[in-house]
Amino acid sequence: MSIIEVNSLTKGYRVHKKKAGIKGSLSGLIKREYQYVEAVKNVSFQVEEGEILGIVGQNGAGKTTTMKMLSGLLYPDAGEARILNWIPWERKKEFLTNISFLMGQKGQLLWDIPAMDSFFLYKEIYDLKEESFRQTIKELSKMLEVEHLLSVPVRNLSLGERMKMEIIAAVLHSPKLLFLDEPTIGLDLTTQKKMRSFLNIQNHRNGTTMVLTSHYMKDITSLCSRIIIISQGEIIFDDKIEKIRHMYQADRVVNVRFAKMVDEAFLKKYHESIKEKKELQYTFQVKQEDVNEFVREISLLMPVDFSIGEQPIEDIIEKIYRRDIE
Amino acid sequence: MRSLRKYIAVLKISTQNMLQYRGNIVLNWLLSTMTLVAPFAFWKTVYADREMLAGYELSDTITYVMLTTLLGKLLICDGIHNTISQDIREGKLSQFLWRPINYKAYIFFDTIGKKLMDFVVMCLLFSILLIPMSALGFFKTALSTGTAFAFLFSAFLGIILSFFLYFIMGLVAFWMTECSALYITLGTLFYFLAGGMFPLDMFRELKVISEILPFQYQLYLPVKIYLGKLSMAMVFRGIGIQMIWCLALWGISVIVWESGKKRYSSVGN
Ligand SMILES: Nc1ncnc2c1ncn2[C@@H]1O[C@H](COP(=O)(O)OP(=O)(O)O)[C@@H](O)[C@H]1O
Ligand SMILES: [Mg+2]
Repeated sequence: MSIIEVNSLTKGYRVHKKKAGIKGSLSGLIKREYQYVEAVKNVSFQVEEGEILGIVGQNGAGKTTTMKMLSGLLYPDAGEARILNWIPWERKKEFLTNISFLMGQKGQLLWDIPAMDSFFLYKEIYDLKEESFRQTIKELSKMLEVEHLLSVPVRNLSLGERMKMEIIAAVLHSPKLLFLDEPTIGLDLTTQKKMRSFLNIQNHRNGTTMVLTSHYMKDITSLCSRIIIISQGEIIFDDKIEKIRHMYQADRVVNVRFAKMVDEAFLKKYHESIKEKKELQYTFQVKQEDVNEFVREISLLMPVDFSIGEQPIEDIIEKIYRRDIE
Repeated sequence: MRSLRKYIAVLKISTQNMLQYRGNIVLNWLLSTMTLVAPFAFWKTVYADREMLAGYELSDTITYVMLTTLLGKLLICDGIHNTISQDIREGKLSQFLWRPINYKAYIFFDTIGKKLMDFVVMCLLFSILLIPMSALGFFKTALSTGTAFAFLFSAFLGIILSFFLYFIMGLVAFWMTECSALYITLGTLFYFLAGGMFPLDMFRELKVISEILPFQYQLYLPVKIYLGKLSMAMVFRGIGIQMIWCLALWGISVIVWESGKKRYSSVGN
């Protein structure tokens, strides 16, 4: 059974159009003009238990709005959703105790007190057992290497340390479903990696289902088995990540190092395909169907070093965005 | 019972949080105690050529002003509307919607937790002031048991009523993104109508309106009961109206909250 079932979900915002300047503000007081922004259009998908789904899309694509509806924060204009058989925006207690939401851009811990004190509050909110609560805190804080920071007021923590506390706060009650909205935004690479492995462990050990958005492709490729690409409120791709390569005929990336000056005629012919050039080291991007011919020709030039790889996922996704906008 | 435990935890945390700022609180209280002296001079001048003003002798007025200054901090829940509107505007409300906790109860216990510290300081100040003041003939100390009980009960209802009032005021932020100007204007008016500046019955014309409006039942009524200015019947009537207003404001807060929630488009991200 699917843990999330979404059917034709649609949501728009009514935004107040404000003209610039004092005159604009004044006229806005008398007659307000509204503009309707369609943030999510007719979105349908399912998520299976234990799955990690990645939602990617450009800023303003509608990712956050979708997650907010699924966590019951927003009421949709149309469509339906069921999560663990509950309707999210009815916010039944049984639903709420089973979900969690981590927002990378917004801290949820109380600012002036140590994280541990907030954790105590969450313990009471979810009615967790003292013993297992202590055990969980110990384990999670050790995993994230923040044991020594539990009693420091949150405002005195660095962004990375704070996000680690935030993620503990998000999984403390062992939710069945975890929404992660740009959880690694602004973090250094080591911390990002730590967060990813933490999430992977949560997923493996507890079978936590996750829905994740991120602009860092590494988060997506190392965590998600499946992605949804959303553009201007609409789903334009929904499948296993590997499928992207087939669907959008990913190019091949060929790295070559030549021993001496490169053949002019060859360079002229493949001028368009050169992605990068550093002295005698070239990177070409070649269409799949042309790769055989390309390799044949290049081997005649006796390169010193030579490798063929796949085009990075982020390049393909970017291409998809562009194609959709055109 | 179980759900009470969460809110006891809220109370504990907010008290703890307050304790971090104990220096500020004590300083705040010291300053407002000093401002207690100012009304002396003012009212002395007002009473220079008369014995009575609208049924108030000088000592009554001074006692009233001092009591409302002390009790006002405790009974009136202003400040929470700022917190609430900020939570709505900045999207901090979100976690109270996706976690199984009641926002109204959370704010209530948070407020009580913050007021506990004020309560302790106030009791201290009160007992320090009591002896010299009553020696000067200001504070009435001899409360009958009945009056004391009525006062405490009415003060309790006053906090509840005030809580709902400012809670609703905070929820206005669901509809208005920028409410601070409104709050500043209304804040003073509300405090005046609660009886925080003058004894309300000094203004005969106001009496009719203020008896209908909920504001005076936050502070004015408990203080009047303390001063022993009301007949038994008036005390009962007052407390009765207080209860009705508590119920009515609770009802309004539920309606406003429910429809505001639907409008809430948790900002950010
Ligand atoms: N609270 C809001 N009020 C008005 N418009 C909003 C609000 N939140 C988002 N939007 C608009 O809805 C669209 C989708 O936003 P969002 O879901 O936040 O996108 P994403 O998370 O993919 O960046 C954008 O055009 C954005 O401007
Ligand atoms: Mg977003």
